[in-house]
Amino acid sequence: MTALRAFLFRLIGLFHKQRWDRELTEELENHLQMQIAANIRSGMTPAEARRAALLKSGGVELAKEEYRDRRGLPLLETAVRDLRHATRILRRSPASTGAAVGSLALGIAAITVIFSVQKGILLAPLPYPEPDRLVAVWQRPPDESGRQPLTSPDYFDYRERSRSFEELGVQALRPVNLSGEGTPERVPGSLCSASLLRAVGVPPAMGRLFTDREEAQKERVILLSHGLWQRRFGGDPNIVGRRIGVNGEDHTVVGVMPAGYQSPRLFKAETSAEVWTPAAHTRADSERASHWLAAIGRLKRGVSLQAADQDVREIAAALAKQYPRSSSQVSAWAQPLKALMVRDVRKPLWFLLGAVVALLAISCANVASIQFARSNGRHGEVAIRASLGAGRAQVARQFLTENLLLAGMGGVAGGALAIWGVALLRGMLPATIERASAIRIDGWVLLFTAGITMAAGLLSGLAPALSTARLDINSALRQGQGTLTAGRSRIRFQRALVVAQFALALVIANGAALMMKSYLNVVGTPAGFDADRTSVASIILDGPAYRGNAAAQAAFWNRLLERVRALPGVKQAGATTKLPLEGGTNGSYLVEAEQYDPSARRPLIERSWVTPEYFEAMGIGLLAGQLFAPGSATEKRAEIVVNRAFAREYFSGGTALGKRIYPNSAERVWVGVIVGVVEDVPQWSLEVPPVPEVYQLAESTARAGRHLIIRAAIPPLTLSRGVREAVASIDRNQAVSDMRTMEAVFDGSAARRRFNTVLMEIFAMLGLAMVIVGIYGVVSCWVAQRTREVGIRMALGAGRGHIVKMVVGRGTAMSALGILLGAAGSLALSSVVKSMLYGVSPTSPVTIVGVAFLLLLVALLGSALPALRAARVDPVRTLRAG
Amino acid sequence: MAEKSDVWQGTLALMVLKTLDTLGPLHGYGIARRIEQTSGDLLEVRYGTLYPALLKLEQEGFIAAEWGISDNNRRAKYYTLTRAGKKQLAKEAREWDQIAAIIARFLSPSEEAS
Repeated sequence: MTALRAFLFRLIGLFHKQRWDRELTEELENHLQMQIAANIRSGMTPAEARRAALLKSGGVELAKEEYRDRRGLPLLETAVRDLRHATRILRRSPASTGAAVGSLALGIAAITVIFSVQKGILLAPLPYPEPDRLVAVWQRPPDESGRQPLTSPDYFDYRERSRSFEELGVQALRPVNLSGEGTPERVPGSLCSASLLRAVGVPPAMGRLFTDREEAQKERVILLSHGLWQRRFGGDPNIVGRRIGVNGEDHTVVGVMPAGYQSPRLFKAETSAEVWTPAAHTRADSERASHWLAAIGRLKRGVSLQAADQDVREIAAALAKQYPRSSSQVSAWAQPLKALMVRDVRKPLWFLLGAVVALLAISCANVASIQFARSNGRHGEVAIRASLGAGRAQVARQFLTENLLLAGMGGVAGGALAIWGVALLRGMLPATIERASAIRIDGWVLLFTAGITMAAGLLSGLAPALSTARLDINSALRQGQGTLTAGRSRIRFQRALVVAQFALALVIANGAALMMKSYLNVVGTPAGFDADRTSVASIILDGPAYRGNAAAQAAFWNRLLERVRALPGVKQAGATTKLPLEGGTNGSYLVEAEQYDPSARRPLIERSWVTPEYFEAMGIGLLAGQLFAPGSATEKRAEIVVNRAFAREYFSGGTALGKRIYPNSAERVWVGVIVGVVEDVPQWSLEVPPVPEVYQLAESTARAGRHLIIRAAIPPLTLSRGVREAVASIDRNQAVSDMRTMEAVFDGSAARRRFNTVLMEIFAMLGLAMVIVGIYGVVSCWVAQRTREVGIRMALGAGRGHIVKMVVGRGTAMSALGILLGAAGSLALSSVVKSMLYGVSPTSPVTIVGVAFLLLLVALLGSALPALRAARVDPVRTLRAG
Repeated sequence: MAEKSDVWQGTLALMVLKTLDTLGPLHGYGIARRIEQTSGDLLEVRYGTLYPALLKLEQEGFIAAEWGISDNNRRAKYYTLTRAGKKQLAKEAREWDQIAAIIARFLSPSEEAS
């Protein structure tokens, strides 16, 4: 308490210096006068009295000095003095200060941006209560990895038999049509069990969640997202209880979820739901092969993931015994929800973090190098300060203060840059990245930035500070400023920095080059369809009139396709149940002589239902045979078109035409005859090679969701209005999604890779720029120290070309060592990088040699300017000056 | 040197407190005079020790300072003992007595023999 009081007193003391100084002077003067008066009273002459009093005082100025030390906070005052001095020093050479601050700002900004992404996506907990207890439950073939959704009857069995879960629920994301008031609108929706909402555990902002009873009785109830409530229903305060049209039927709104709530997204391409409706699930055993419900469970308190995993595996084993026909080839496993939701971004993020750490190291090396060069010109200053009594610690402290000041400026500039960078990055982020909204610069990120800034300042200042503090005063004073020999070890240190910078820059640049090559490989993958001038609009035919009614759906689609083809500019129009590159629908078939065997695991085959014109509209080439004839499908017999991969897989070499396929079931309820083979189209993404696919005629299915594919001679999106009108003219309750070009679909498939690649390229560019600054600085410094040597050489007849060659050779030699080290480092890291690449080896010699040459070029560039300056040295003047 | 001045500083603080307790409000010169006289002129109080010590006591809240008019009509800074200072004085005096008693026991050989 006493100590605190004294501290505050002293803190105040800092601000009243002048007045207190005046008062002290007066007080001491009084003391002296009283002493003199007393001395006179005891019989001295005034002169003697004054002399004796002064003698006795023990030195008035000394007393003032001690008093001042006690009054303020000497440490703080010294720090302020150091800071002032540092500011003066830094302002004296704005160019190198600018280079140092700029380097640091870029390095700090880059790491701050990537950290904010890391924090938002990887570190922050999922936005649900006690998120660590949430797990996803998947099925999979035994001894294989995979994430297969549950079937409806399986869901009931797992839920009832498991002992690990407080609650287990299922969801399937399905877009829905909102009709009724206003234009019909298609919004992302979630068909989910009431138990899922309880498992996730977020209470609604208004109203309530729906209940098991409502679900069991198939009541038409719906939950809205906050955004949808605001946007479509104008934030109606009486929304709860209101009836709205969903998929052509009235639903009662029971609640509104909180603003910003996102339902868990378990698959890559999913977007967050805007409405939640109960899924009317069935326990019918006939559904045991239909895997479509993603399960999320909330673990009971104290139950481990391993226990839950074991639990579901045992249930799966029991079900396999109980239902051998459908379930003998099904196991199950549990996965933490968070690990699942960040699975695709985790690795690239760590990769990018590695790159920015390297970038920051390069920028620190730049600062260290610049400070070193600066300290070279200050031997005289340091020597004078040291001989005036400044201790080594004081000199080192001065240098560290300078560095911290530099770092502070770099940190502030970097933080500002990062705020801009994060905004930019959020705009660039692919829409399907999980939890993008959690990416922002908050207090923790700023704290991180401040920590990094301090560390960067100390780290880059330590070496220059220590070595300057060790300076030999005598020789420095004797030699004055520029010396021939001074700092042989300092040049060695700077050279080591350049070597390290080049090594790191090579690693980053090589990574960036590999990523770029991978990206080009990915977008260069033959898509098998013609993305130009093709566009897509998605429609879900819903409402009682269409549900389960293939004929009604076919009638709608036939009329729609006819009207769309009649639109000006349209060349062809077709329909399909699934789009290329956006994931698949699959099942298994028996091909030709294969026999049904419930214990055998058949490979999954992709399947699409399309209209005959689909292939032409999409630009998918026919390789053999023909396309199906409309109306050719009956209940017992179907014409089938397969892709190249199917033909290769099952009839390698021979023709597929005329061959038969059957459903994978005990009874051959229908037979498919292969009439044509078409070009492969990648189903899952550009990076997953095409798998066998079967196309069937659209009119043979009652699937409600379909995509309208239009090939046009005019910019495709101009057709948007015509398509909407065509749909409305047939059934005005149906909603049409926004039109996309197939080019956009194609780009979407490469979006994440493009994002990562662009960031890597940016970091590599920054790295190269910093390295140029670094080598320029070091070579300039070297040249400056050797001005005399250069002068002597020229006086002895060395030509300008010789001097340029000498300097450039010097710079290149330094960097060559770094490049070699970097190449070795890149090879050592190849196993880490490998999983990020596509179609290029992490040890690709072409890439690494190319990058090495690029860096050599950088070294040449960085040393050329100082070399030219060296060549302009006037031998007469330098020699005379020496 | 540092050690010696510390001990000196500690005892000086006690002497200042005691002086102010005995004589009431007093200026720096008066305090110095009183300490020197009491010590039988064995001690000499320099400005450089006295004024920082006074400042420290003021910062710690044991004494308060105020400008007043001295006997010879000059403006002078007067120091007064505060309540906290009184307590501190009692405490330090007690501690000092204890130390003195302990040291005295060590130094008297007769008691050791008995």
